[in-house]
Amino acid sequence: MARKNEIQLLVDQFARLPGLGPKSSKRIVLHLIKNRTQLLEPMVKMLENFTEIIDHCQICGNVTLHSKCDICSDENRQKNVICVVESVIDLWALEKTEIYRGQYHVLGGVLSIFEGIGPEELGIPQLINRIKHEAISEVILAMNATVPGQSTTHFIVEQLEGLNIKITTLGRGIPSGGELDYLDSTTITSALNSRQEY
Amino acid sequence: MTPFNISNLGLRNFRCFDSLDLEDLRQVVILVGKNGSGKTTILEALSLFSPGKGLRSAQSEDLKPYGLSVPWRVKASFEINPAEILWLETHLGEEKTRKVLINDKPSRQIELNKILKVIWITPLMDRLWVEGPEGRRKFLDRLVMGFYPEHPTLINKYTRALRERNLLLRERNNEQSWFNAVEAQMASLAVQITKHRLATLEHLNHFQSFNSNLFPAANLTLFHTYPKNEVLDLTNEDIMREWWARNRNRDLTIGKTLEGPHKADLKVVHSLSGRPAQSCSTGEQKLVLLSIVIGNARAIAESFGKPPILLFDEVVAHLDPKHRAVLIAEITNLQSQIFMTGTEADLFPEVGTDAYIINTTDLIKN
Ligand SMILES: Nc1ncnc2c1ncn2[C@@H]1O[C@H](COP(=O)(O)OP(=O)(O)O)[C@@H](O)[C@H]1O
Ligand SMILES: [Mg+2]
Ligand SMILES: [Zn+2]
Repeated sequence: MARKNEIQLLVDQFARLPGLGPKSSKRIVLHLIKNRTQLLEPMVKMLENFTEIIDHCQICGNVTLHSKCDICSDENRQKNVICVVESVIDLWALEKTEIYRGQYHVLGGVLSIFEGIGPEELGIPQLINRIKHEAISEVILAMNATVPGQSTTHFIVEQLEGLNIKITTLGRGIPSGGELDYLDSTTITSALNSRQEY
Repeated sequence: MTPFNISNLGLRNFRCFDSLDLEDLRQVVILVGKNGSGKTTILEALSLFSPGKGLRSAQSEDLKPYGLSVPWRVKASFEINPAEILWLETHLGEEKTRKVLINDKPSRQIELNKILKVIWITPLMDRLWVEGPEGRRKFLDRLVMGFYPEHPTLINKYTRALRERNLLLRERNNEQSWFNAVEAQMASLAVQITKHRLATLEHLNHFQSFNSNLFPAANLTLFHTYPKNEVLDLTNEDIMREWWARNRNRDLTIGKTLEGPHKADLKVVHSLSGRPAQSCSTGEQKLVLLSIVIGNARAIAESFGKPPILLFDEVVAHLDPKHRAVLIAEITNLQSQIFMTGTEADLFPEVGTDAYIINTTDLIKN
């Protein structure tokens, strides 16, 4: 087999991204080549910048180019409510509804012994500390309705026992096994509005 | 044509058939032909119109013809009534998974269960009563699925949580809160699973009581083993949670979870002889299975509003003429469509002239 040239290698790189296959990767690469100044060059600059400074917000775990993310820096948001999510994707899904105006905490996963992800790996002790020290009055647990998601919910609830904090989970409309990212904003909005005490 | 029948069936690149079309099927379909002519394969294709892996528990990949890498496809028309026909299709999709189309619309496998129920008896099931509990548990859970379509999902979730607990026992046994979290889920799922099983057995026991005397009811009960002097109520969430929490240390030494719905067994007692199924004669064991299936068909006809489709692989030929006649009468009464196989046409004189008879001997084209 002949050695692959650089263009083919780039196509392969794109094909490794979630949601992309070889066909769409080829189209993307050709499109970038065609639109060199309008697309390729600014994109390369952005990515370069990203690789240098992209990081996780030190407070909530969101992705950010600063040490504190936009949400944590926003003084107009409610400070006493915190919504715990599995991943940044879920945070984005909730933000899209524009009805939730509190704080977040991104776990970056769920408890899963199979992948060796335990409470320490998820930073649950930090989350509990944060809740204790930030005068939080409500914690919304928005983990997915999967077995590991619900185990994580249960685990956090147990850690918060004895604190005088309202703990809620998303209500109606979230199908069993459903993941936030796949739901439309109306469904998420109604799930937020109908959240129930755990 | 009675309603709720499969009227056409098409197979493409399915095991030994590169192309097979059966049209204008009837309520009673008989497949006769020598061994290896494809009878079971046709039943297997039909069994894929229910969720799961079909009557041979095969991987979707293995349903392709040997040595070829073409995707297989099975299509059928399901007649609700002469004016309303649903087209059901299942095929090997990308990523080696089985896909389902209902009237050309991609659907989840579980959707099939809302349209039709398919029940089968195969020669493999002869061993059901004499082997270990796993086979019976699977058999029971398939029956349960007929009444509770979400049951397999619960089983999958429970199994995942159980595996998680077993691995915790081995790798992180000091994480008490983590155990609590996993066991809480196991408990909630265990209760739902057990309630479904109990309710199903109640249905089956009840509906078998209408069986003819030739197919005496098999009394079915759910059975779990517990340590000496203990009884465990698997329908009580708190009890289950406490039980697992209390037995962590014991389970730790063995490395797995000893009690729970994953250990359930189906106890079957032949009501005429009063003997448990495993100590019945082979003939009695076959009748026990048939009694359960007839009761199940009746229960489904009643609760689902449509009789199930029955696939009997090498069952009927082994019955004496009296039992055979009564069996066919019961099934036609229920208006179930039945597909049955045998090796010689003259083994089925009781079905009369209405049956659709397929000779499979020359069907396989090469
Ligand atoms: N994946 C496959 N590809 C091609 N042939 C197969 C495949 N699986 C099974 N067969 C063959 O199909 C034939 C029909 O098998 P089967 O349906 O079990 O016959 P019968 O039930 O009539 O005895 C057998 O000869 C078997 O070896
Ligand atoms: Mg066979
Ligand atoms: Zn932040």
